[in-house]
Amino acid sequence: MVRLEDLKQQYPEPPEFIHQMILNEVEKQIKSNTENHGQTAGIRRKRKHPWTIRRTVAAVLAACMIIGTAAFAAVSMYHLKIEEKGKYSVETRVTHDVDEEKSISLPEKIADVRLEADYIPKGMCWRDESHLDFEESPGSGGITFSTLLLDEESDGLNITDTNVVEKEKQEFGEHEGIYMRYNMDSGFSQRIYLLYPELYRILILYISEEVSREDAYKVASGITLQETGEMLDTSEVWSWSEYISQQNPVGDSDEIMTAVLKKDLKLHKVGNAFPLDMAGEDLNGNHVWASELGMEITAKVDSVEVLDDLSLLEAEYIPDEWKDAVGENGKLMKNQLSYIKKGDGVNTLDEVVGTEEVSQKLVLVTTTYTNNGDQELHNVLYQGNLLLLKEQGSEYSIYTYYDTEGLCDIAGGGTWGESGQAYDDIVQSGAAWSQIYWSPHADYGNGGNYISALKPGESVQTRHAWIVNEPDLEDMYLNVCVTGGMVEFDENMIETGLVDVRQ
Amino acid sequence: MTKEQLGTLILASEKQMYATAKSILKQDADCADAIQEAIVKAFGKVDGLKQEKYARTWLMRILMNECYTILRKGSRQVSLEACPEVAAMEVPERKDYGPLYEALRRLKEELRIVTTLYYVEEFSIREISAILEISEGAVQKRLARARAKLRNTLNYMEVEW
Repeated sequence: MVRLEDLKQQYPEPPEFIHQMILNEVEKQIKSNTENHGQTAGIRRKRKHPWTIRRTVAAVLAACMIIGTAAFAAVSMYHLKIEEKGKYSVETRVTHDVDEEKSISLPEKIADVRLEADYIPKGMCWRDESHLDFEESPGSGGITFSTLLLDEESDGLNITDTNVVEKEKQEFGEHEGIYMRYNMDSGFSQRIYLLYPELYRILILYISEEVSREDAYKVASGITLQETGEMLDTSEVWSWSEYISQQNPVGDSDEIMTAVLKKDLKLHKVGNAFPLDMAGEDLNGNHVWASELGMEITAKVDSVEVLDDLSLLEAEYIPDEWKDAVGENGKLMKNQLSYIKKGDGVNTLDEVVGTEEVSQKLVLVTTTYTNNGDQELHNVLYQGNLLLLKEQGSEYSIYTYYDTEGLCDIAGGGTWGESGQAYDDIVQSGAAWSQIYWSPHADYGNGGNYISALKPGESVQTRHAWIVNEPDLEDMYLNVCVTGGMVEFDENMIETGLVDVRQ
Repeated sequence: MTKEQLGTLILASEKQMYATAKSILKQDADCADAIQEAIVKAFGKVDGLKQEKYARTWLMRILMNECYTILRKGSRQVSLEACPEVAAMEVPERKDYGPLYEALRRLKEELRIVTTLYYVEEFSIREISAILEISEGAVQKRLARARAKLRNTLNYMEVEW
């Protein structure tokens, strides 16, 4: 019998050299700061790692190799070039003067640099050497700096920016740069690429929406990169080519199952008990599945209540986010939904195709688990996930959405309004689908969604709650399988079945 | 949070830090690099940490950033065969892992890290959401997929589930 909770026991212990390194480094850091009279040691861009295997290898190899004598190519030949692709896409590349040698040639070691700015916008300050924060809201917005090495592999590579609504190429101080603004209402909606050919660097400024374009230009114009005196292995500095390759991440190739044939999916009614395999511990503390012990556990949804407030919930378990969803009258506030049709970022931008205000409802589900076997099970994991299903021909299709930083991803999107306008995402202002409430909480596992003990013949009642949008009430189905989720079907869910909790 | 408190937290989180690094990076030497860099950066930034209750997730976030930095630089690694006397220093990887850990190693990184954070380090869904900067729903989704894949793998490995 294997259970995921066993992972902790099976996971390897840190090797001794890592254990020693951690001890030494912590001691060194505390001592270092004490000697500095409690002052922060400051961020070190690069540091020596005399103990690590790879660095030892690198050092030995370096000693065996002839130090490269490749000279830097003339720096004046490098320029930033932008090329429009479609209405909203821009390709940026570093180009070379036609009469010059085209390949970039770097030495094996290159000077480390640190950033200095002669202009800091009012109300902003340095959080660390690569972040300018707003003093009143540190860690939220501002300007983030990233320095990249212009390496050999950068030659001819393009970085493609999409959803660009403004762009300008100009000199920022003594350096050539490109400003872009993206079609975003919040977040880091602006960017500047700055070229420092004399240091073989490109500096990227990620600029949040709250920073004015004028301030961004002033900051960019006043930035200098100063050599620190430390030399770095060129191969260890993050490069422009690596940055570009990262912009094209390999997608998730795994297919997820969001539709299932009606004939294959069992559906249970509220009030009807059905068998459910559950995982827990036997009396000896061994992790077991009930089915392995020949036990039958049944689950039964006793009731589904739709409420306008949180009054029936135990206050200590109410998610913090939900408290903000309640108005002064104690009722759940309305949710503003914006239906978004995604653009391709090249010729079309994201577009709001419809908006509406919907009521939010609390759905409180009470479920009873009964041990029909003759053995006792401890620390029994219980789960509840609410899915939204649409009947489409011979299939049930999941359109359950989950909140991704305020953007609700919909499996397959949908259509909005009488015109049937297609949309891909919903942006919401409310708390719907953001959290789950559950009770009881056991002093076991993460989150405590365990039933402490389920004795032979015993029944235990649990409660789950969700805040949903009122239109969702018509499409709700409950999944109580411990292996299942809310955005895709899996075999256990299909075999066990879902509970029809539509209202 | 004081430097001493941070030191205590790091020493108490040694296994968790290693597990996090190991779930992203294959080689122990890379894990050590990432952990060391994370410790240095954590001490450098600790004055900016206003709420101690977030210290552990904050530390893991720093560590993961270091792991991904190293991952991006994967090609910089030097072939050990090129320098046999140094290769002899390599710490051998343990081979007697349990079947569950072996199955975990076969998961894709995005599922592996979520599973490690939840089952090994015992972070809550909400904490994992903060560490990975993804929604809680996405964490749940990945956990569900990881469970299903682990189960399939273990069945394939003829390990009793």
